[in-house]
Amino acid sequence: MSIPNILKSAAVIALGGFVGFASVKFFSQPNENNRGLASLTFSKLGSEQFAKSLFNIKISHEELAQSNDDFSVVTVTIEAIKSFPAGLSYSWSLPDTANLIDGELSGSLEEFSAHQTKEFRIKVKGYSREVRTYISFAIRGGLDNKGVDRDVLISSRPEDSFEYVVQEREKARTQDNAKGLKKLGRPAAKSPIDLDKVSF
Amino acid sequence: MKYLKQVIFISLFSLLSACSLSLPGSGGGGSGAVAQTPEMALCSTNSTYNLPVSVTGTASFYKRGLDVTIVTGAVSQMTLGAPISTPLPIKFAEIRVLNSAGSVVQCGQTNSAGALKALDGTSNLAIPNLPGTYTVEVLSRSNHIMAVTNPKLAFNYLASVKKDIYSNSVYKITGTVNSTGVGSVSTTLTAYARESQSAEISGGAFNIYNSILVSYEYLAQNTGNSNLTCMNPKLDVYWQAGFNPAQYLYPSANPTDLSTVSFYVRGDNQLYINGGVLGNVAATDTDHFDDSVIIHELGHHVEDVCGKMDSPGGAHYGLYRIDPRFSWSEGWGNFFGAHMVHNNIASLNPDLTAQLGAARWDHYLDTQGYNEGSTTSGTTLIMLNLIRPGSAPEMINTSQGIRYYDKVDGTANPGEGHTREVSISRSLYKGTNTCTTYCSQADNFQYYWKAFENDPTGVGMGKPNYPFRSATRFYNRLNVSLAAPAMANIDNILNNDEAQQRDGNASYISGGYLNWPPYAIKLVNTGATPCTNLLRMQPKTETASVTNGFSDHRYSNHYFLVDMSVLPGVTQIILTATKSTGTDVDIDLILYKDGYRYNQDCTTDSSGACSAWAKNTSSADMLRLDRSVASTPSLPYTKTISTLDGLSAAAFYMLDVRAYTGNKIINPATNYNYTLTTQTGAYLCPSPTY
Repeated sequence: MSIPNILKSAAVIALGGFVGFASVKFFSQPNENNRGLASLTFSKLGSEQFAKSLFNIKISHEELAQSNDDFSVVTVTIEAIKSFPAGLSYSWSLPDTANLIDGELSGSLEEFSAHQTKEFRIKVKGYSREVRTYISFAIRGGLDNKGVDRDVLISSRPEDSFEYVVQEREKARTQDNAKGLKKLGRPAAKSPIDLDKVSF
Repeated sequence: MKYLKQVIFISLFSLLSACSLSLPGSGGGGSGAVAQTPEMALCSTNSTYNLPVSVTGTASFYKRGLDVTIVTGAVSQMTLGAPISTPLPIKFAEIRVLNSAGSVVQCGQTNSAGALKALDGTSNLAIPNLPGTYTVEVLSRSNHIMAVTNPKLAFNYLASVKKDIYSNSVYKITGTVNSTGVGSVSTTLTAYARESQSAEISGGAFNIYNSILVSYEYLAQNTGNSNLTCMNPKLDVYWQAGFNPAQYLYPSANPTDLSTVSFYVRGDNQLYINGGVLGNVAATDTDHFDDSVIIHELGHHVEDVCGKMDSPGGAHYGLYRIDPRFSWSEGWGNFFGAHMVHNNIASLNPDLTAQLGAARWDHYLDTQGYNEGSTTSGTTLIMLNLIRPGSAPEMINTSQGIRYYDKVDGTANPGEGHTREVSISRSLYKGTNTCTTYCSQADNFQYYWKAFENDPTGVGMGKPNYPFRSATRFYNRLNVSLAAPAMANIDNILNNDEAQQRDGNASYISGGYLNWPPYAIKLVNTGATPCTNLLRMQPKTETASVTNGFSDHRYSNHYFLVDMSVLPGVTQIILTATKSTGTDVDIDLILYKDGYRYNQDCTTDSSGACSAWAKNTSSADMLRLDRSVASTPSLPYTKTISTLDGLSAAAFYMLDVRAYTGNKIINPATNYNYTLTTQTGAYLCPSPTY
């Protein structure tokens, strides 16, 4: 093939490639008209919304037994966003298989000052990785003429959940995508869904 | 020409290559660990056999029913309870029949009674006359042409309910038949609602499938001759028992920290339905049996494909004045869910008829957990009765006090209903149903659809010439699609019940001043002639109870559509603000692009509440702005946005005349009169037509 023909072919390939990829890039632009803010769901309005302005709450395993013959310790941490007076009540719900060894299954919250953190801990037997069961913690009551109704739940076998599958898959995908970018640290997993396109 | 063809070919090749690299959810990194399985192809081949054997039988599903508490003739509480007494038919679902080797020998479809039929829905489901064991599968998937009355165009129910975004696995229930090679064989397939009977709660998958199908059926019969082929694109629904799809949105989050959520993904035709948390369905919020929640999300899809979604999205509670685009979209969704259930109880939950007795279903309902046997965790999360008056709406009655869902006052606050989603839900519901007070007493749904749709030959607000869609725009279009006498009934609801007075209503004019221009009314150049009604803003304090602590979209913002094609030569818009009474307030000009997100003038803390206030000037959505500080706001001052000649005449823009109200106590009697003028002093006024 002559040099001019080679150059023509190269030019055609380059132009074709450019047009093709440019087309994809153009049509892949986020639609500015289709934007949404991924945040809270409509189903979570009402009293819980008020509770969220009062405190953050987290539940975790301090110790998780391998079998139901051993002890597990579950902790709830409440962090006040702003101060609130005493008066709310709390309660734990245990699975039928579990017995309370230490701690209080219910009680009243004392006064919280802003940013104060308090922990609630129970030690139980019959709640372990052996069988998937759940423990939940609820706060109920009213403050400032507004109801408070907030609960959290934890599983003895979170690795059996599909939430865990999603966490692992998206972590792997994000790490795959980060390969070769020479970034320091581990990137947080990214959503497989474009959050700007979500409506609740 | 020769080279042109080569360029086109290589362009197409490159385009396809690029597309294949960017398929949604393909993993992107090429790791086998995150590879995805495409959805199994539709079974769409009708195989013919000599002297075939017929497969007969039915497919049906159970769902959890409702425990209904009625007090003095009205529903006071509803929670999920035991499964319904008689299973519902699985209608128009895909059937696959496999031989003992696992090969598909026939495809079919259930009919309207759930009977197993051939693909045409009427012929017998035929399999070969070879003796043996065959497996019959009924899938939570359909490719069904909806029955419509001529001349309405046929449209498709093409949808799948799938387990997750990775496997794209469609739910199915299966049965086996042993054929002797002659005659017929029969099987009964049932999807169950209890986790003790079906670990994956297949009844949940088929209930989602059914809720969507029933809505399609309703639309087929109740939208007049409107063209519903907009519904043809495939709808993908993802749901799994015990799984909160919020994890897809925030994959790094601890599952115990995430709120449960169902949602719709615009442009991708995807619904995600909440199935519980960490495998738990008994004590957590689930939506697979909450028909009105499923259909609420479907309402977003319908708006996306047959109307036009302008909602910016975000958190919403049904308690506050919010962005009118947002309140419209969510109000439509709530209405859509409640309306479909109200009008299709026999297809969704026939037990309800006897349970309700003389009471009615007029509700949007979201439940948590269920009550059955020793499980007593069922509660009502949200229950909104949409025929209650706007002045006395549904409330949360706690021992500590009462909170109302979007209570409105049409006399004190005309138009505020346009910024309140539950008020919009109520007005839509009352306008299309019967009830003792304020309802239209007529089935106006087909006219509502005409006001909503995007058919280019119609009058609906989904058409491109109606940007920034809201309830204000919807009722303007309804006034075109609905005959005058019927519209008078609707106006009775809007004016006297739900504070959603239409554009041009006299309640917006006081003392010769227009104090609320309809949301996104177009600005026109009136030259030396001032506006017919002078413009007046009445800014309000940001309160926790009314606006959730944010800027008031009803009172502290006036929104004007800027269409440069009708403003040739205009390079500047100048605001001249003059205090009439009340508190000194600084009013700004912000020009947003289409699809803008309203930027609050504060930073928020972890609870979402404002913790520090400052004028927001950094948004990319703000194309032009003057948020300079008015040095003496008690005296007349001006704000100017310039270089408007750089804007496209083919695009739409939103001018936000915004009072800065961050962390400021404002006298309720505050009035600011203002004018909008061009660089030559010509007046810019709201168009005489909306």
